Amino acid sequence: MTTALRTEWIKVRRLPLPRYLLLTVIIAAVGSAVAALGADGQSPDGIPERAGLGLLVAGIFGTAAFAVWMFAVEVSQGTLSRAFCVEPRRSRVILAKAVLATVLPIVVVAVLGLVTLPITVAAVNSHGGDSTMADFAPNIPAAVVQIALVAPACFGLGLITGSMTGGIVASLLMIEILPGILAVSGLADASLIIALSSLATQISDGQAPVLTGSQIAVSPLIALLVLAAWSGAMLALGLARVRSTDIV
Amino acid sequence: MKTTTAPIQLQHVAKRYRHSVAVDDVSFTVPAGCVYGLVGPNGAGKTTLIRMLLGLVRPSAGTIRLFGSPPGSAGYPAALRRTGSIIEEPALYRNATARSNLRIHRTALGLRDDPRGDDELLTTVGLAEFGDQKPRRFSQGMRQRLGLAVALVGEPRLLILDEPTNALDPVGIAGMRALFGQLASRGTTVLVCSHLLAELELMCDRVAVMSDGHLLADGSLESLLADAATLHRDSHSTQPSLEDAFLTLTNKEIR
Ligand SMILES: Nc1ncnc2c1ncn2[C@@H]1O[C@H](COP(=O)(O)OP(=O)(O)OP(=O)(O)O)[C@@H](O)[C@H]1O
Ligand SMILES: [Mg+2]
Repeated sequence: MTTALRTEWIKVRRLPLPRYLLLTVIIAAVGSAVAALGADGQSPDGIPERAGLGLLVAGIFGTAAFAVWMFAVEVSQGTLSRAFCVEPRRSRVILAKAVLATVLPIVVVAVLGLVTLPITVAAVNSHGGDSTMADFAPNIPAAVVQIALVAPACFGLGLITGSMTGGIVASLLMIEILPGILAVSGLADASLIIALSSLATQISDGQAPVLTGSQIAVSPLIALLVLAAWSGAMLALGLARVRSTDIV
Repeated sequence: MKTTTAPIQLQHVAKRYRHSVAVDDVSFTVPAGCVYGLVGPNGAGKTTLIRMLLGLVRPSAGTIRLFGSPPGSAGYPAALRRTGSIIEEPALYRNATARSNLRIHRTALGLRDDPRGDDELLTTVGLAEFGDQKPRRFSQGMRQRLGLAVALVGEPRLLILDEPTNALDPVGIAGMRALFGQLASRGTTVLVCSHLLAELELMCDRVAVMSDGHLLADGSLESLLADAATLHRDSHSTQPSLEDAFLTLTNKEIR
């Protein structure tokens, strides 16, 4: 299993797409936080959302793209046969990929959350607010939980569709539909539509974006269980598909 | 007394698809240290047979053994790690450099990084100057060469090569022939599929001929050519070639 993990890690480092995704997410996260510093005519309450918007949107998008890519790249390059000719226990290869597809985005989002935290506090305080790091620190675990649930599900969709486009389209549908049905109370909402529409509001009239989207409130525990089951199901379906199929 | 297990053993192997039979009741053994040619017209089932050997396609019937281990058995992963392969198009990460491709494969085999070894492999296949370039920009023949270098990572004891001479220039083909000779003298077994019969005649010790999923003949090159000679006593004044044997066996005599 360590060999499988090391192999996937080398691929992540040696192939270009992960690098571009990482760069995009860093620019979006740090850029939006820094932009909030110089925002005009904002109330202090709106600043944290504005500062965190880049990390939220780019983080979710980037995670979905990366997780789908982890498997789809092998299909598009025709290298799946090579991977399975070296390690015929296919579930090892797939699980190693699933682990990296989940862990790496969590690390990136957690680190970027920590990096942008002081910028957010500075932005709020420069607009007449009175905040400390502790006020916004809970946003980081909230983001991590979302990534931890979204990544394996998107990876599973990549396995099922076996294509970058198909996997991403399916992921976007999932990211949109699931949070619409279930709102994880206490966690920022992962819905892209809400995030994007608030971005649009902000650009059009300088209003602070409002990141809420709870349609049906369920307890956080039940919501987490349902999301985890969903991710697990996607993963299991994808695994079953890849394990049973002839590679031609 | 322990005899070395043959690297490849096939017994009554078949692969049936819903509307076709790709491989039907094929049995043969490839002994160690031998360069074994697998020939047959398009659609004969050669690639399907190779995919089954490599565990990519499940046989519908029969037994396959790679170094004595059938797919799915405890010994099979180790047997596969001693096997280098190319299946039709070489499987390469087109956006990673040639060196990265070798390194990824080396890691996958559970081996340590070996930049020197990678350079030697690139030299062996004539890509010494292209190590830092990406296969995306390679010509077809260069990709084929890199595919061979990847197959050679970790000094495999068995090479399974499906049309490795595809798109290779004459120098490349001659180089590959010399390489097979060297490998075989060191005890490496090579199973090679090709349509270049004149070339195979120069490299192979033994040959199997397939057509429409069936095995028509297999054995030493000499015996195959001798059989063709008896069948064709009148029409061939000279020693028949592998091509003559192929055309006779597959009944595709050109008139
Ligand atoms: N996935 C598949 N589904 C259905 N039929 C298949 C499949 N793969 C191969 N076949 C059929 O099996 C037969 C053998 O194909 P195969 O690719 O093994 O031939 P080949 O000997 O490698 O031919 P070539 O010399 O053209 O490479 C063909 O008739 C092909 O149509
Ligand atoms: Mg073929």
